[in-house]
Amino acid sequence: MAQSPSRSDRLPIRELQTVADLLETPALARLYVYIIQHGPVTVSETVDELDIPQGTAYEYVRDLETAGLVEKTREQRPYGYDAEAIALTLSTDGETRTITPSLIAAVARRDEDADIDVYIERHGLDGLAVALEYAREYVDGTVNHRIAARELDLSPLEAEVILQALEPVAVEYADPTV
Amino acid sequence: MTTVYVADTGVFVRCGGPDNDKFQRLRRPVRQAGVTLRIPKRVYEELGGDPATDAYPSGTVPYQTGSRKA
Repeated sequence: MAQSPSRSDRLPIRELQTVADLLETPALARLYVYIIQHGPVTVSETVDELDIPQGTAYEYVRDLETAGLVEKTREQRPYGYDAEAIALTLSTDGETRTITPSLIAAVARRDEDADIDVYIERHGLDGLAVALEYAREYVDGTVNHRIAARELDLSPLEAEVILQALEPVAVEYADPTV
Repeated sequence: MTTVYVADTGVFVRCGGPDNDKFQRLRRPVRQAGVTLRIPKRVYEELGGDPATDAYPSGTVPYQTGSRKA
């Protein structure tokens, strides 16, 4: 029997593909984070603010819209766009990871903050996601670099470097669900 | 009573070296107050204890230049 189409406009697998792109493409991540923080915005506003070529920005916004991660807020030109906060939870054997706007915001800083870039090279995006959880506690004052180092199996210096690098993201996204 | 100013690892990671603006902003008041910062042995060892952190821009703190044994 044919299933009636879902009433939801969400396309989970399409969304997953775009989230994977967000994690791999810092400029796309910066655009998404900008729309979350400042939306509704027009594409030309993002071009002015983010130093992304105009054609690329239109392409990125179209991809995000197709995936349901941003939506038009007005139907006349220039279109305004607002973003939906993602919370994509992935489960593999024994490990669960939720991809949140704060993780995307951390990835978005990769181009401008080489400390984050090196950390991702060394420990991957899973390592970054865990470090971000510690950065929140570091900002709250409940964890210092020595505790983080011991629990993340890093040297104290490397722990301090990444906790400070992630501090602005942890401050901005204090709520752990985002 | 003696007051001792102790600096933890995070201070040096945040301030970097003499070329960094934050370093200058720390050095000025410290000098004006006529005090020195004490660095515990543990902090000294942390600052130079991991060659792997050389890959990080903030992981190479020129800690030896500005410190001496008490």
